[in-house]
Amino acid sequence: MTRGTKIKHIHWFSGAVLILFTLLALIPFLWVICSSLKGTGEIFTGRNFFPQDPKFSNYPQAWESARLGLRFFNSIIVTLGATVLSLAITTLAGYSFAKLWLAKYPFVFYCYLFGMSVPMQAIVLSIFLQLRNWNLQNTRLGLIIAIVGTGIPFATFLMRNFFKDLPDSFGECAQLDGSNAFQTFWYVYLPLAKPGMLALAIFTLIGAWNEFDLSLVVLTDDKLWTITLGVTQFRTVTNNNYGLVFSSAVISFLPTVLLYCLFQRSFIEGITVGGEKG
Amino acid sequence: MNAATPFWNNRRKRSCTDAATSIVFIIPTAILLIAFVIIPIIWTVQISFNEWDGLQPTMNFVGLENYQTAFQKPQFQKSLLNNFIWAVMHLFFACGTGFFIAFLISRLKRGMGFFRTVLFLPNVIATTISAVMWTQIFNPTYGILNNLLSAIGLDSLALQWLADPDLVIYSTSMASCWQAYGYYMVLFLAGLQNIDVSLYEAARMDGANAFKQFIHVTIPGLRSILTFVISMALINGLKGFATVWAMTRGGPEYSSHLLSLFVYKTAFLEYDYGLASAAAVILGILVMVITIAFNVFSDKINADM
Repeated sequence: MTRGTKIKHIHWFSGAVLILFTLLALIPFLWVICSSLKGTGEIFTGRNFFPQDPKFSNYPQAWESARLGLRFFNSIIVTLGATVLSLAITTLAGYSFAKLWLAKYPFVFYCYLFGMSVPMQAIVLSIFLQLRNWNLQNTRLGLIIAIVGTGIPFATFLMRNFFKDLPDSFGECAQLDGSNAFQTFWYVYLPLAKPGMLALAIFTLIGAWNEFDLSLVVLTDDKLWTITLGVTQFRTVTNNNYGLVFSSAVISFLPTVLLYCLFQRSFIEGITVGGEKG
Repeated sequence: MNAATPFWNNRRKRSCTDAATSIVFIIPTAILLIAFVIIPIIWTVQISFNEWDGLQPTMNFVGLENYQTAFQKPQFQKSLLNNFIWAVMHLFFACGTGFFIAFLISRLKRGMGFFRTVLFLPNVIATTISAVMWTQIFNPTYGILNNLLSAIGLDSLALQWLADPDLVIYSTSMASCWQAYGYYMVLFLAGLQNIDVSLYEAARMDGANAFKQFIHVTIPGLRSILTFVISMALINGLKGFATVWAMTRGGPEYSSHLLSLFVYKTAFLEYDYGLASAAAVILGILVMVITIAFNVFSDKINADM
C-alpha cells in the first residue's frame, strides 16, 4: 500500500516537472510569435500576452526589410553544398579507414582524430588567412569548403565507425566474384551504409544551417550573408520597429521548426546515432 | 583488380593496388584537413610569436611577448574567468538538466515521444536565433521575464539581465543552456533505453531499492555516453561565441567576453593578429587538455570498476 502511494507521488512529481519544462521550452516561442503580431507601442506596454489587434502586415514588411529571401537563398546554397561535399568525400575516407589497406595502419586515422580535439574557434583566424590566399575569402564556395574542412575529423570518424560495423566477409565474397575495390565499395558497402549516411547528412545539415562563427569571419559582404548572420542585424535593418524584429525571428526559425515537426524521428535518430558513434 | 586474373596469383600486385586505392580514397578529405585544420594550427602557433597586423608581408618576431600581454590584459583575464563560468554552467544546467529530464522521461509509460519531441525543439533552431529571442525575453522594458516577475510580485527580481556587468555572463549562459540541454537529453535517453531491463529486474530480486538501482545499474550503463556528453558540455562551454555575439557583442564593455570573442575582436577589429593568435592557442590548449584529461580520467574509472 505504502509502496503504491510512493510510486504515485513519484509519478506526480515527474509529471509536474516535465510539464514545467515543456512550458519553459514552448513559452519563449509562443511569446515571440505573439509579439510578432504586435506594433511597437503594444510591445512596449508589455501588458497583454496575446496581440489585441493582430498586425499580419508585420510579416511581408519584415521579409522585405530584413532581406529574408536573400538570406534563405544563401543559407540553402551553403547548407546543401556543405552536406553534399561532406558526404561525398567522407564516405570514401571512412570506408578506406574501415575496410581498405589503411585499416591496418591506423596512424593516418589518428591524425584525423587529433583534428577533432582542436576547437574551430582557435584556428578561425588562420582559416580566414588560408581562404584569403586562395582568393576564396568572402565567397560561398570558400565558406562551404571551410565548413566541410573543419568538420572532416568528426564526419570521417562517424563514417568509419559505420563501415567498421559491417562484416568484412561481404567484401571478401565480392572480391572472389571478381569485383574491384571501387565496385565492392559502390555496390556492396555503400547501400548498407545508408543509415549512417542519413545520420551524417542530418548532422551536417543542422550544423551547416546553424553555422555562425566561420560565416561571420568569411562572409564580409552583406549580400552573401546567411540567415544566422542576418538575425544579428534585425534591430538595425528594421529601424527599431520591434514588431518586425519579432516577425523576422519567427520567419527565420519557422523552416527548421516545420522540418523538425515533419521529420522529428529521423532528426532525433540522426542526432542519437551521431552522438553514440561519436 | 582485373576480373580475369585470379587474386592468388598476384598477391604482391594486389596489396599494391590495395594501398593505392586506400590512399586515393582519402585524398579529398586529406587535402581539406591539411588546408583547414593542420596548416591553420601551425600558422596560429607561428603568428602567436610575432607582431603582425594581418596585412604586411613580413612579421616581426617577438617571442613570448604576446602571451605576456594577453595574461596582463584585463579583457583577457575576464574572458578566461567567464569561460570558466560558462563551462560550469553548461555542465550543471545543460548536461545536468538533460540527464535529469531524460531520466524522468525514460520512466514514463506514456507520452515519452511527446516530451522528447517538445523538449528537443529549442535545439533545432539556430543559436543566433535563440540568442535574439532571449535578448527580447531579457529586455527590461518589454521582456516577458521581467513582466512575469512583476506580475507575481517579485519586482525585486526583475533585474537588468543583460546590462548588469555582474549578471550578463549568467544570463547569456542560461540562454545557451536553454537551447543546449535537449541535445544531451536525447543522447542520455537513448543510453537509458539501451540498458537491459533484466538488469533492473535482477537488481530488484537482490533487494536493491530505486536509489541503489540507479547507482548500480543506470550509471554504469550510461558510462560511455556520460563521458562523451560531459566532455562535449565542457568543450561547448569553452566555445559559446554565437550566443554572446548575438546577445551583447561581449558587452557591456567587456563583461561578457569569452576567449573566442577576445580572439575575434583582437584580430578583426583591432588588427592585432599576434595577440589574437596567442589567445587562440591558449583556448586550443585548454580544450585539448580538458578532452584528454577527461578521457584518461574516465578510462581510469572504467578500469577500476
